[in-house]
Amino acid sequence: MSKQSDLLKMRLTESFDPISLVADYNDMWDRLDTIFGPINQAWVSYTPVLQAAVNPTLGAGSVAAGKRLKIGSLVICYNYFQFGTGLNVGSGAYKINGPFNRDITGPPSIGIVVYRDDSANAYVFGTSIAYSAAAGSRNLYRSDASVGSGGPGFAWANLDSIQEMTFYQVEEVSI
Amino acid sequence: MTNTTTPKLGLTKAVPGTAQAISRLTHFNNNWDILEALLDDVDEKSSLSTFSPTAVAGFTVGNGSLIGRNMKLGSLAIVKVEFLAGSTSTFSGVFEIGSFPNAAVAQLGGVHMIGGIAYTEHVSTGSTHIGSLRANNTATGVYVVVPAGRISNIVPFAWVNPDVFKFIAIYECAP
Repeated sequence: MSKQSDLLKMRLTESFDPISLVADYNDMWDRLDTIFGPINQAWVSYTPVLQAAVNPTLGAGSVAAGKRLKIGSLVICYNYFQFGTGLNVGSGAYKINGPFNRDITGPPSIGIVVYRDDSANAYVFGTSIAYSAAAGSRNLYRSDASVGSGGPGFAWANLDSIQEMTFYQVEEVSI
Repeated sequence: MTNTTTPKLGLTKAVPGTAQAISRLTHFNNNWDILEALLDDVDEKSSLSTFSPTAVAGFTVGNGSLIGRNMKLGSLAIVKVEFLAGSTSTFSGVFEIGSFPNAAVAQLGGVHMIGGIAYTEHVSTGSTHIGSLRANNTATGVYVVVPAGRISNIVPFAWVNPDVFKFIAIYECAP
């Protein structure tokens, strides 16, 4: 517990005012709670959105689910989409939106995507890149092409899926 | 902090030695214990742990090596794995790797969310391939997915001694 002792010593020698000392500790715990609290708990579920120029509809029995861990201004997340019956692939390049708006002041963030063709039990490697001013969305790619309504080398069908893992800096830093 | 309702000292002055003061001290120490456990996970004194990944399907290690290292920070698990083929390693289908510590708890659409960045090399030709990971749809093992599909005895090359794959994976575990 050397860190505790160092902290106590530091505060006591700075100003031994019991009331302000307690207030300092409260502030400190607020900050530590904000940063470390989520790490010590289950990741948070949310619903990501798959978008295109004409948005796809995933169909009956489909899945659109996400889980994320936010550590201060860093978010780590998984997004999963599985098509259902009666799907409509929409039109245009696909984008994934969520869980937070991204900080767009710096270079783009890059994620990892794996597409699955259920009927063929085939898997396709890809990436997601967030470089546009659309703060929350990430464009989807495979190794040699953009991925959209035409599919990642196979036509989207019932039970086909998209899994994305990415991490990025969120737009607003509240701590 | 799992206890977010009573993490703080009170703002009013406590009389030393009273039950009030002791209660606040208990809260404070509880929080330090939680924080210290988190910090110990990433402290330089706590090096990455060793674990033994297993060849679930598609290959046998023989006199090659399949090694792993892992760390855990609250609900965030990170593992790295390396396979080096040996002269008695055998290859027979799609590779599946399992037995990760701190099992992945996030399932979206019934699929464990384990993603990461992978690399394979056919040493004799220097041919290298990047990739990612995706869990077996019905089990906790993972496939390595490169642009040519899941790695197997013939993807992305015919595996022989001393070819290699390695990856780093990130996933949610129980905090």
